[in-house]
Amino acid sequence: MAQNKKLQTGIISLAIIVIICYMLIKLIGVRSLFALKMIVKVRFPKLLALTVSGVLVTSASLVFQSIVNNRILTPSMLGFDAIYIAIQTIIIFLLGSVNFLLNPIYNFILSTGLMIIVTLIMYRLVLQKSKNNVVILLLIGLILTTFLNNMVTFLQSIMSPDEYLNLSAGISISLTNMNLDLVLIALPIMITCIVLFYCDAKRLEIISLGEDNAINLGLSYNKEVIKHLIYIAISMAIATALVGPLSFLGLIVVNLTREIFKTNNYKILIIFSGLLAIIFLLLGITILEIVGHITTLPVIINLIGGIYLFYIVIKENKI
Amino acid sequence: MIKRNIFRRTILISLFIILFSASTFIGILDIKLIDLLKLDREAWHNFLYFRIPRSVSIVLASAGLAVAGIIMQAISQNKFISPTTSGTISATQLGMLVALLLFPMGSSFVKFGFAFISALIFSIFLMVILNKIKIKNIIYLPLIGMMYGSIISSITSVLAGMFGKLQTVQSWNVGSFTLLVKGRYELLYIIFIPVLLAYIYATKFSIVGMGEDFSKNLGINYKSVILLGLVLVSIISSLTYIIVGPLPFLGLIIPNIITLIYGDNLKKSMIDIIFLSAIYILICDILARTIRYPYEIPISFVAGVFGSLIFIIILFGRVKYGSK
Repeated sequence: MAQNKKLQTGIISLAIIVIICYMLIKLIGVRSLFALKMIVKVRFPKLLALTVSGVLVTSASLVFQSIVNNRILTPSMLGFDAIYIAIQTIIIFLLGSVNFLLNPIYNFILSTGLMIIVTLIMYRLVLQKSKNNVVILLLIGLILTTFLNNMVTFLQSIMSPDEYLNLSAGISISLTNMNLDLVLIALPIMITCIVLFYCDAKRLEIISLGEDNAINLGLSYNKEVIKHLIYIAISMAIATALVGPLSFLGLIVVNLTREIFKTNNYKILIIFSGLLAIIFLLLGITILEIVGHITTLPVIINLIGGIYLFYIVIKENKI
Repeated sequence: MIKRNIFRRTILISLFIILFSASTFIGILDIKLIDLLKLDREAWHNFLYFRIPRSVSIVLASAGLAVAGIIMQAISQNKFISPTTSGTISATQLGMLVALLLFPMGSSFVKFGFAFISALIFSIFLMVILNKIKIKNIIYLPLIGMMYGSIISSITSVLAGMFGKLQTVQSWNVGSFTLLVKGRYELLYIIFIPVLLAYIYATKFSIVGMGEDFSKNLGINYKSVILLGLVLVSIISSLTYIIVGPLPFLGLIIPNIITLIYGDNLKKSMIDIIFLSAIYILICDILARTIRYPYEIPISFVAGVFGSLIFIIILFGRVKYGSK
């Protein structure tokens, strides 16, 4: 227990250090007024946005992993990224790029709403048909991803290069044109979601024991699963619409937290995986800031996350 | 039983012939049968230069991909694996990008070489990993394969982003038979070799599909058969990817439909698989050409829509059958 306390303070202080580093990087020695402006106007909204989406993605992944009882799956496999990219592509394709850039707030509300609706319909159809078999839901998600990707490549290949550039700015993590208003809309939702997850921590622990055990312990399993899937849909939709697809982040962070704390206490897992997510995202973006923007943050996260995933799979010898 | 099979096969083959000839007579240029019979020079030129290459390449590509799918499913002992769900296509893409960066002017043969090597290396690596782990639910295998594919894709997109080739890579992902005129599709004839080899070794692949111990008992060199399978799959998928582009779900749904009817004896079912997949893609291609006539919709889009629908139906069917 004492060791856990030490680890906890360690992670908290690491988070603080990383935040300070990110705030100050490339600004040391710059005229103080300019630096202050930069920090308040540019860095702080980005920090907030990353915090909101990172925390949402990781808590959603944590819940999802306990539902499917598997450590290597993330909710983005249900097709959130693909749905998001498809919605963006269709918006740009139908309305042209000008409308899209003028109204980031409308775009945000529109895409979040659409994503939530689409995923809820999918849940309803699939879970009803397959008697609440979440694994089938996963496979359907994969098929949907392939299907949507096909549609997107088709649309992208016939759109003009200008539109394509706008689109790729929109679908890769869109921190450069971060809008503070969006963050302010998303922040209360994030706090609500986290509070809900936190209050449900005990139930999540029971769900993670598997269906049979959960029912034996008196939990109305199916109802709980569907309820949590809806939470997941909402938080994934918001996170993706805010900063773009972050598929593997939840996977890395949740597993890392489990590895560090070796516990099934969901209260600890929720808080510290969120903190680790912030650390990860900020480190990533700081590195990109230093080496120049050769690629986007999601791609790096995908790469690291994917390799880490295979490391886990090989180490544990099973899926 | 045998009579019924022959009956089925005759229907398949006659359907194939009808669709093939229909496919050669659909297009913007109006080629009439009468002109051909009159030995009109222009009509024959157009026919041989545009129509025949297209229809032939449809047949070759679809047959190849379906065979690749069934080999993959046999050697991984999983019905949900195909070149798309095992990262082979992503590996091909990576190989093509490397070829493009190293030899910007390289011919398609150079591209093919790189794509083939990369596909082979990555699929061997995947098989090694899969051999090491226990899998609780068969559905997890394609999941792992797709994640593997997405890792490879992210390497590709980092590389492409560094050299400003993202839209080029994106454009490879659109499967189309539009540009396949005479002189551009001949490389596809190579597919004959792996398909023929697959047919010759079909029985061995079926045996390997029953597991390592079983095939060793029957005196089959398990590892080398698997390696052969991977080589064939890599050749087929890199060739079709370079020349045609992806044809989503083809390698997944056609073998699944045929094995639902005929069972797992590959030697018996391979011909049906080839014909059915050719019919399927011919239908998709005819639709792609006629829905928005005179324009054309990419075939990968049409095949994606139909393929995902059929796959979902198969999926629910298999779930009902038992394996949860």
